[in-house]
Amino acid sequence: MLEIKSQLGKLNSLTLSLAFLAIIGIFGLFAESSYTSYFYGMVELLILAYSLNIITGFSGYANFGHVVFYGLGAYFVASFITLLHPLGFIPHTFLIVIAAGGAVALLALLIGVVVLRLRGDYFAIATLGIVFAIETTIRNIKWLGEGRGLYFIGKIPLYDIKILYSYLLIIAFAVVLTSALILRRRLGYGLRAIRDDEDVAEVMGVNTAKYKVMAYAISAFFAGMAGGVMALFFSTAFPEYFLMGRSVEMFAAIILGGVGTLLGPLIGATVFWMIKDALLINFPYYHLIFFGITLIALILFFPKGILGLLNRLLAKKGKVLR
Amino acid sequence: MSKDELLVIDRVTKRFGGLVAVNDVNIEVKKGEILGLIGPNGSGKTTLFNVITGLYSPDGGTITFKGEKIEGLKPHKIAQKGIGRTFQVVRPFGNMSVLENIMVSGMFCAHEKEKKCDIEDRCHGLLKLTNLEDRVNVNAEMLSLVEKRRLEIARALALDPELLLLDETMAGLTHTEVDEALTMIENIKREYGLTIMVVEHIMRAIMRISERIVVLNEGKIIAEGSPKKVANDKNVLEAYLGKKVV
Repeated sequence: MLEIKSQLGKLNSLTLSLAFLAIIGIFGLFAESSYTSYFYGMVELLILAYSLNIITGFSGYANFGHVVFYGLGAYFVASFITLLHPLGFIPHTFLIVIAAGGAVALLALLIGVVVLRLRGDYFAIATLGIVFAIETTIRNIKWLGEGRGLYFIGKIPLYDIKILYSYLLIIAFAVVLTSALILRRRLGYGLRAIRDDEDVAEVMGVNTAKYKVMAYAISAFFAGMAGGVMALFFSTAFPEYFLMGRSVEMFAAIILGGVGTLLGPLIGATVFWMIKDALLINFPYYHLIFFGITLIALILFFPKGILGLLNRLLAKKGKVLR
Repeated sequence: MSKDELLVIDRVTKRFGGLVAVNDVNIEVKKGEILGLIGPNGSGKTTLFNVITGLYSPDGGTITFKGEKIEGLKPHKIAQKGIGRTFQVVRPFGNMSVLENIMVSGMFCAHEKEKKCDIEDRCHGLLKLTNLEDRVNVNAEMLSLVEKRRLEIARALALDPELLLLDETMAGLTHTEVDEALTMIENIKREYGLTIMVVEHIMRAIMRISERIVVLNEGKIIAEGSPKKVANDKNVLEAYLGKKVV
């Protein structure tokens, strides 16, 4: 933690992202509820982008199936509450969310040990397969509500969106700090070495198998918690949480912002959310067409994301943001 | 096996399908020596390095390092036991700075308890040694070929190895650059008391630094001995130049 403390006094990616979170946090908490739900979606995407960045950004393993952890988080929360309710003992719901995140991380550990033996495109395709496999399994388990979803309405109090928003904010701060910490530790160095050349990393003493699985589990932990909060929001876990489009959104967000950086997911998720919302309101029928074109243009012209563009401007002043 | 042998390669064989890349090779590397490994293209030198560092597991034979069997271990375990290497085709971590490149192996070498600032100091020392001090924060991708080769040496040294495997570190360098590289390798050996195995095609270089040379051809050892002896060996001349017709 010392490394983090020494960073806090200066103007850098970490302080910028924490400050930004604090600002939208305060704004979302005190504004009208309709604004809060706008920021709710933004912060949720931000958490998902940061968590995806830990595996895909740092270690270069393209995970197209990250949404599976989001969906699983929701189902774990729903299952925990369904199981605990008859016992008459329901702990604080944020604790349930954390427990769900932990369960998702454990599951990711098991999946990761198998799947992370694959590299490159093969890994990417396998991650797609995981989403379909898990979603289909859940849709066929009676106890989990099959295709209807697992309802727990009435078993916990209905929440105001602002309370759930504050849950998300805590998770968002945690994922930003964790990312910063990882980047400064052995894990971060190991993962970045793996991204550049996995064989060489191994020859330089990096236990690549272990570090990849660790990153995979950590990223699953945060995505799982975001999904858990979503389940509280609807008092239900739906199979629709496994929607592929969510995976694409987080992927687009980190590419847009700057892959593998600390500030990139924040910029990417924010800009992505704003563009998406603006297009949806102004062009309700054609927004996806415009959205696609905007994304292609951004990626064509700024392959290193918006952060890369910023850095090109900052380079003249001799500064770099990571 | 006597005590002064650091690495013993005993009857090691590596096959790729029908091709025997390394065929029943025995090499003993003594502590503190510079051993040259030469041979025509495709004679199995790099494959042998890959077998030693664990990237390939041998199809037969054993490799003993400091009295411990290491064949079949994962490459990172072997690296942490104290074998560092460079690559024939340079492979720096392109998106990391020069310092970060070296920090990776500095952090993952055997001394787990070393503090980050101490590792950083050690790495700065290595940058000085390899003459990369003024490139510390440059992305490794942006370096010139000579600098990348020097970076690879620094990165291997950051593992704090006892055995250093240099795979054609001088290929593609100019005459003066080769001289500089040779002086550097000699300095490294003196300063760190390392044992070094060198694969090299530049004869001038290998003749100057090696104390002993092993010649491979088609995966087999065809000659072994002092540089002078090897250079005049009939089998070696045949392997490189072909048989005399007349």
